[in-house]
Amino acid sequence: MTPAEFMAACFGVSVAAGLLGALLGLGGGFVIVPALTLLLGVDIRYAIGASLIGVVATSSGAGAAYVREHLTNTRLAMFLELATTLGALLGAWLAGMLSGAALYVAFGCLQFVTAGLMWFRTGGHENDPPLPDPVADRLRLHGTVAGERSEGGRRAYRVVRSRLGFGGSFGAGIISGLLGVGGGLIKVPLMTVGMHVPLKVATATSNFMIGVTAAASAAVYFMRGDVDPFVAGPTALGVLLGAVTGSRLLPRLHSTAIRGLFTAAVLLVAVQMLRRGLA
Amino acid sequence: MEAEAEIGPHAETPPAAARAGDLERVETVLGGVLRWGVVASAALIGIGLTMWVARHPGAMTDATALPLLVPAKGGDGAFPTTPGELWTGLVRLEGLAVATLGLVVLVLTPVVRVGASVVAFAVERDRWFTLITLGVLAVLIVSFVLGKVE
Repeated sequence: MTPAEFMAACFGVSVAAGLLGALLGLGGGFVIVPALTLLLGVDIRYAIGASLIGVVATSSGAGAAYVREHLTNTRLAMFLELATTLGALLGAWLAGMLSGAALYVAFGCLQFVTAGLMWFRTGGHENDPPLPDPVADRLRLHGTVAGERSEGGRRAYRVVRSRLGFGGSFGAGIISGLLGVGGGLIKVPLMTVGMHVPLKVATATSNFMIGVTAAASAAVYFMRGDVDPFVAGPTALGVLLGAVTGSRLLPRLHSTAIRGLFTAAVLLVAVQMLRRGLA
Repeated sequence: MEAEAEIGPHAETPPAAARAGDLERVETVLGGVLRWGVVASAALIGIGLTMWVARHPGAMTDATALPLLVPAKGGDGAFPTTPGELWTGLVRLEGLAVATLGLVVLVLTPVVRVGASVVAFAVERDRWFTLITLGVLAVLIVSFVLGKVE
């Protein structure tokens, strides 16, 4: 294909990634990296660099809408980001030392794990019996969320297992810097299942967090020359379009649809990436 | 009659109503910054890539050119990888430098967002979170500096 066609293809794929990402609170990295490598034959390092840019684009593109709707739990986000950004630095640095094949295999394994996580357990834990969490109390991580249409007003939710969240976020950060995903794949279940945060809040909060995490990793990739404007440029534009559109649709989507959409896509990708890495 | 915000040794934090108002104002500014940052970045990327395509007629027709661009091995596909190269490229009005600037602006938007949060928490007199958010900002800045060193 010609350079112009290639850039158009990157753009198209990225619109889909941005849309999906905004709807799921993820960065779309799990779409971008496989699409660029498997469909368009881009070297995995450039794909990861472009994907990180895409994650930032999803985060900032959809961010304004979430800020307006008061869904994001900024305290929780910043608390967890302390761990995530440190992990991201570590991951980005590690990626420079691993072979392309190793990265493919790692990516494929990650996808299997998260497909399982999302399918078997997801939101709805905010009404579980409350667990004591002095850290969450001290830092006032608990929040409120707008009630369902029938209720009106805002109802409070408690955040639990904040230390687990912190540790898990460090791991999510490493994976983000290493494989170019936003880490939302881990962060959303970590918040909903682990910390009993309502799904919509977790999605919005994750959207904020992934941008910060990806920015930390992207800086390292930039200087390593792994951010190619021919790939990252169209990717950023496509994701922005997809994310801005997706953030307007989110309030109307049901949790079951989110789960099904996500799991099917991720499983497909997992198989393909493993095949690539082990071939 | 509601009491005004107290000044003096007994008042640790402003009343809840003032805090909520501050937070809302910060969030409005934040939304604006995000939107403008994203628009500016998209414009720079779009303009930069268009400039490159305009100066390379083969971009639309030459199917063999692609392997040279991705991964870039110098020549037509060379793009800036250091701040120095970026500056030189911008001064020379090179499309890829403009596009790269757009990418840099995009990556800076979350950094600005964190910075705004620092201010918001400082205004709320929330010591813990001012520190935590400053910590995140510090890691972000270190990542840019570390990258430079490599």
